[in-house]
Amino acid sequence: MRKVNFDSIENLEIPDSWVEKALSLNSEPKQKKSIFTFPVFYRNLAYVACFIAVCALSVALYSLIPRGDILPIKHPDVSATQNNITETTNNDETQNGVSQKPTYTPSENVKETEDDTQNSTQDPTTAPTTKPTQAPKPTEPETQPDDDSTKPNGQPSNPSVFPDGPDITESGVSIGFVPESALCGSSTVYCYIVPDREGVMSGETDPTIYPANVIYVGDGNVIVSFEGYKSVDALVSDYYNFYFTNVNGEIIFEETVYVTVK
Amino acid sequence: MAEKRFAGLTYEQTVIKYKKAVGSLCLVRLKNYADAEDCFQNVFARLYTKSPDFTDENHLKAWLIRVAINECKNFLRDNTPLLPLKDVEANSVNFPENECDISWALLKLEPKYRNVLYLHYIERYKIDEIAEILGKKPNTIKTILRRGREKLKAIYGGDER
Repeated sequence: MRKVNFDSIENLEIPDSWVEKALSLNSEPKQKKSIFTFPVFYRNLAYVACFIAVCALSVALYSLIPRGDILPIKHPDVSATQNNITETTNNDETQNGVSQKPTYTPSENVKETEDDTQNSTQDPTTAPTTKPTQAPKPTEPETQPDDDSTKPNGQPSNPSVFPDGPDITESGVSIGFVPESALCGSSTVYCYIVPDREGVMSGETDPTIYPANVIYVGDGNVIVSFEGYKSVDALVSDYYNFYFTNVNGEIIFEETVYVTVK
Repeated sequence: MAEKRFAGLTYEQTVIKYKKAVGSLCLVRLKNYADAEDCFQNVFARLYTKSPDFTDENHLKAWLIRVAINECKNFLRDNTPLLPLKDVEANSVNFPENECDISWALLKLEPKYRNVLYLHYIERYKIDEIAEILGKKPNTIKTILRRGREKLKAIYGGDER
């Protein structure tokens, strides 16, 4: 009788690599710690790096944006009425073929004289900027307006209740209400302004006249310059009657404007 | 952190002591070194991660054998052979045909008989113990053992031990 066995199976040798690999599980927690803490460090580092990059990008974009192009441009030669566009327009100007310009003054005072039609071939843009020679009582302003309590047409004296008018400076005041037809016919245009106070118009009070130069810009825009007269120092924020005259001293256009002295 | 212990043995002691029982079972079951190594690692990885409580070393050994059989079953169920045939043959377990050593004949049995015969003749488990490990009735194990012997005799062509 043969006696069989399973010696081949019983003598099977298990490779040491199997055991080493199985034993490596015992040391795996340490490896896990190093594995899982390593990315966390770099993840936080990535967050910080992204934050810094975003900040740098924001600063760069802020400095690169051409903000000057976005903001409304104020032309230095254009009156404040253009820069402060309001809701009122002068219908009379439109009727006279002048482009609409915002004004702050009533248009009732706008009137055309017969002299406007004289010298109609003269280009208004070439109107000389000369001192008025025949302006009525062209005296240097020396007196300060003393009474602001009342205004013509019952308007209050507090400037804050008025809409911001054109700013008047030493270089003059820019106004945009002059109809083209009122000036284009005159070869030489002069201007003087008179404070619009109670009694001035009726002759009870001797008006203070401020002569000025006239520079016609076009499209109804006129710069009234006080250069050479040194009269601007006496001006205060108030209503003023603007009188535009021809060489003969005849008034060709007048308008009442509230100007702000800056 | 306290070192894990299994029935009084450390993990390292457990692996070294039962490497032959688990490894041989995987080899006999899968007949391939590469596949057997995967199951071998899975068995001890499950031991390490689950860390069940064992009453004694017999309990520990029985648990390892039970888990090894299940791992081999799962491996055969989930893994179709992907290696080229020549690689499979190079990694396969082959025993020379010997008149006395019938290990080669055991590998030719069906897995159901192979497990019971291996546990009975190599691991020296009794029928009741095999029934407990495999979760079957003792009479079922008796039947499987008897039929396995008959099949082994037919393959070997000789007397039973």
